[in-house]
Amino acid sequence: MTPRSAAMLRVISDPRPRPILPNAVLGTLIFVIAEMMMFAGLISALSIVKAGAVGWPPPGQPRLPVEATAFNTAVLLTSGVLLFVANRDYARDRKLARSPLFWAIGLGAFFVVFQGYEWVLLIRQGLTLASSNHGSFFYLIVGMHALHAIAGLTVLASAGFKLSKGLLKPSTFAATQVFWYFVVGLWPVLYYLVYL
Amino acid sequence: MISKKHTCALLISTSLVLVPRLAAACAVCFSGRSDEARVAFLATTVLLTGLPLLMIGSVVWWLIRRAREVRGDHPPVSPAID
Repeated sequence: MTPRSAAMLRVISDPRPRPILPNAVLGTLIFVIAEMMMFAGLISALSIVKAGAVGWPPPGQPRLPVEATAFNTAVLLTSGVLLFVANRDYARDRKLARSPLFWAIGLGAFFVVFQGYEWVLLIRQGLTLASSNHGSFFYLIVGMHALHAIAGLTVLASAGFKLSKGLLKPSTFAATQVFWYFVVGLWPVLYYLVYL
Repeated sequence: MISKKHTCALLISTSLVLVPRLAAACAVCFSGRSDEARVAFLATTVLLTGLPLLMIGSVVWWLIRRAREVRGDHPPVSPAID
């Protein structure tokens, strides 16, 4: 028996059941649940401080760019939709998934850069971490989300690189999607609570 | 046998229950004096209690459905990602 046929026989006669969920996806789900609880804690603290404040945002503090961030929110949501399209194309033909995946990465990167630009403007206007509770919560919550967005973009870029080389495993792609959908899905909630 | 020292400590700690403001036993109960703050405390308590149960429950429910799919007891409801 050749080594190749012996390996094939091992695969065919493998008594282990098919995994319910790949380890990469399960691990990412557990991580996302933990991160959701962290954001829930931050949101709770913000809600209680807001409820106890005389006025919110506090007088003398700059107003947040609601309209510009609404546009940026739409950009991030579009990135999530494009990742969904990439997943659908990946199931049909892996080469088709390249274009929507790279667009999803590009829009995600635009979101992060635009957020950074807004931060620069707000800091110039006097909203800093130490200027008020408003500034502290804004930079803490939005900054934590931005860190997650950068991490998500890194794994998306890694998935895009592997896809272009033909090395992307379905389980890796699924785990990447779970994380990016978390980043995309969380943002509208944060936008509503922090900006509006 | 309970000593006098233990009885005394028990009486003091029990009597503090009667004067919670003095004992500052519950920071949450006394810091939110306005209605808005009370609602915020209630809503965040519900959020922080319910969210982990909801998330873990959803994952477990989905895993059970997926296990049934893999065994062939149930029609497929989600794409295969293995």
